[in-house]
Amino acid sequence: MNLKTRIDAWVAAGLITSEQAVGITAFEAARPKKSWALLSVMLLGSFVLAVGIVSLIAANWQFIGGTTKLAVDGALLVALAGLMVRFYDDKNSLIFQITHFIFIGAILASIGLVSQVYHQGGYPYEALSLWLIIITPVALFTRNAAIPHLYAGSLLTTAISFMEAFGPFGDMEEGYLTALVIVTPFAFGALAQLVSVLKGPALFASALRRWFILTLVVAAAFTDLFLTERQFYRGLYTPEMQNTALIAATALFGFSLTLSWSKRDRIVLGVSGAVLLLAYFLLIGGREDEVVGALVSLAIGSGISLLCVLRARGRLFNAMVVLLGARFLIVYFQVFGSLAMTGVGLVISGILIMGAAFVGFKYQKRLYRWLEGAVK
Amino acid sequence: MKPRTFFIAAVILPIVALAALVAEHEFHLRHGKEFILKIEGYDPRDLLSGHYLTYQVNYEAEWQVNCSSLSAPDSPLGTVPAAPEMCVCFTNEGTRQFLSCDTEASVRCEAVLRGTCQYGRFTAGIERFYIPENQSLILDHLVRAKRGEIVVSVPPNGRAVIKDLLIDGKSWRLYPDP
Repeated sequence: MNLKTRIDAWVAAGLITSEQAVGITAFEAARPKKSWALLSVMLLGSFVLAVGIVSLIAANWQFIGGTTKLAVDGALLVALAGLMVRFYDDKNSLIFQITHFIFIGAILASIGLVSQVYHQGGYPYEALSLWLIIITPVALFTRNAAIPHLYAGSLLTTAISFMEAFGPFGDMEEGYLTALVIVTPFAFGALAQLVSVLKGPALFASALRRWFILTLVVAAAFTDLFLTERQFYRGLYTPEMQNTALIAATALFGFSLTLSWSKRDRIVLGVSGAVLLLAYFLLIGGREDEVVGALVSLAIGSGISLLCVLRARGRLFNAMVVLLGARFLIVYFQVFGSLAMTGVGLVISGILIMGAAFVGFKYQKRLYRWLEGAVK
Repeated sequence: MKPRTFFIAAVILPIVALAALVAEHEFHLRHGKEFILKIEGYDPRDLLSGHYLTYQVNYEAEWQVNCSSLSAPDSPLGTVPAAPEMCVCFTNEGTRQFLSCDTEASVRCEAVLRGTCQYGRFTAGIERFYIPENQSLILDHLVRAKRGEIVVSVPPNGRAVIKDLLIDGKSWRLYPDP
C-alpha cells in the first residue's frame, strides 16, 4: 500500500483531517528520499562491473608480470581511496557507499594477489584475519548495513577456518563444532555491547545484535540436534576444553546481558541464553534426550519470538512462529515414529500440517497483538 | 582531529599495510640466500588444485630430529597440540640437516629455513606455486615426473620465499607453451 492510499484510508477513517493529509503529503514529498532499491541495483551493478574487469584481467593473466599486477592493484586502491575521500562530506552520496564497499572487497582481493605473486601458501584464516584487522577502521565509517553484516559474517568465517586449520584431522566436526555453536552467539552479543560501550557506529552495534539473535536461534537448533541424535555430537577432546568453552560462553553471555536494551529485553535474552548454556551442560554430561532437545528449541524459539514482540519486529515474529510450528511437527513425527508413516498416519499427518498452517496464518496476527498487549 | 582526518587515516592504513607486506616479500627475495630444492608430487589427487601446483619439497637433508620426536606446544584452543616448529640448516659444508629450532644456534648454518610439522610432515609455506591455466597440465606432468625444482630465497628470519620454478634446471617460463 503506497503512502497516498494509506493517507486516504486514514482520512476516510477519521484518524486525520484533510488539512493534515495535505500537510503530510507535502512533508513527505519535500523529504530527501533514500532509495534502497537504487542502492541495491548500484551495488549489484558495481559487483558485475568488478567481476567483468577481473574476468578481462584473468584472461590475460599469464602475460602480465607480478610487478605490473601489484602496481595496477595499488593504483586501483589509491583511486578508490581518492573517490571515497572526495565524496566523504556528502552524507547521502551513493558513490561513497559503492566505492567504500568495493574498496573493502578490493583489500581482500589484494591480499590474495600478493599471496599469488609471491607464491605464499597458508590457511584462509590467516588472509581473513589480516583483512579484518586492516579494514576495521575504514569499515567503521560505513553508512549502510551491508558492510557491518559482511564484517560479522567474515568474523564467523574466520573463526570456522581457524578451527578447521587447528583440528588435528582437519575436520572441525571432530571436536570444535560444539564449542563454536555455544560460544558464537554470546561472542556476537559481547561484541555488540563493546561497540555500544565504546560509542562505535550504531549500524555496527545493530548488525552485531542481529547476528547475536540469529546465531542464538541456530545454536538452539544445533543443540537440539545434538541432544536428539547423539551421533552428530562428537564432543570436545578434553574436559578442560569443554570447561574452557563453557566458561568463555558464560563470561561473554554475562557481558552481552549488559546490552543497552530495556530490562524486559534483557530478561527474555537472559532466560534464552541460560537455557542454551544449561543444554550445553547436559550435552557434555552425556545426556541423550530428544524431549530435552525439543524443549531447548521451543524455549529459545519462544524467547526470541517474545523479543520480536518487545522490539516490534512483526515479520521476524512471523518467521519465528513458522519455525516453532515446524519444530512441533518434528515432535509429532518423533512421538509417533513409524506409525506416522503408515497410510492412515500419512493422511492424519497431512491434515495436521494443513491445519497447523491454517491456524498459524489465521491466528498469527492475533497472537502478536495479544502478546503485545500482555507485555505492555 | 576531525572525523574527516580520521577517515583519511583509516583509508590509508590498509594500503600502507599491503605495501608493507609487498616490501617485506621483496626484501626477503633480495636479501636472502638462494638455494635450489627438488620437488615432487605427494598426492596425485591434490597435486594440481586450480591454477597452482602443490608439491612436497625434497630437502635431501639428514634427520637430526623428525616431526614425531618434537614436543608440541599447547594450542591457543586448549590442550590440542599446535604445530611444532622445525628448522632446516643449510651448513657451510653444503649439507642440510633437519633440527629443532631451539638448537639451530649451536650449529654453524649458512642459512636456516623455518617451518612447522603439520600432520607429521614438514611444511615451510613454499609448497605452492601459482601457474597459468594453459600450462597447468604439462607442468603438473613434469612435476610428477620429478623434473621440477624450486629456487628459494632464505632470509635471516628463516621464512623462505619462492623465486622461481625450474623444469630440468631451467625456468618454467622458458618451457614452450603447449
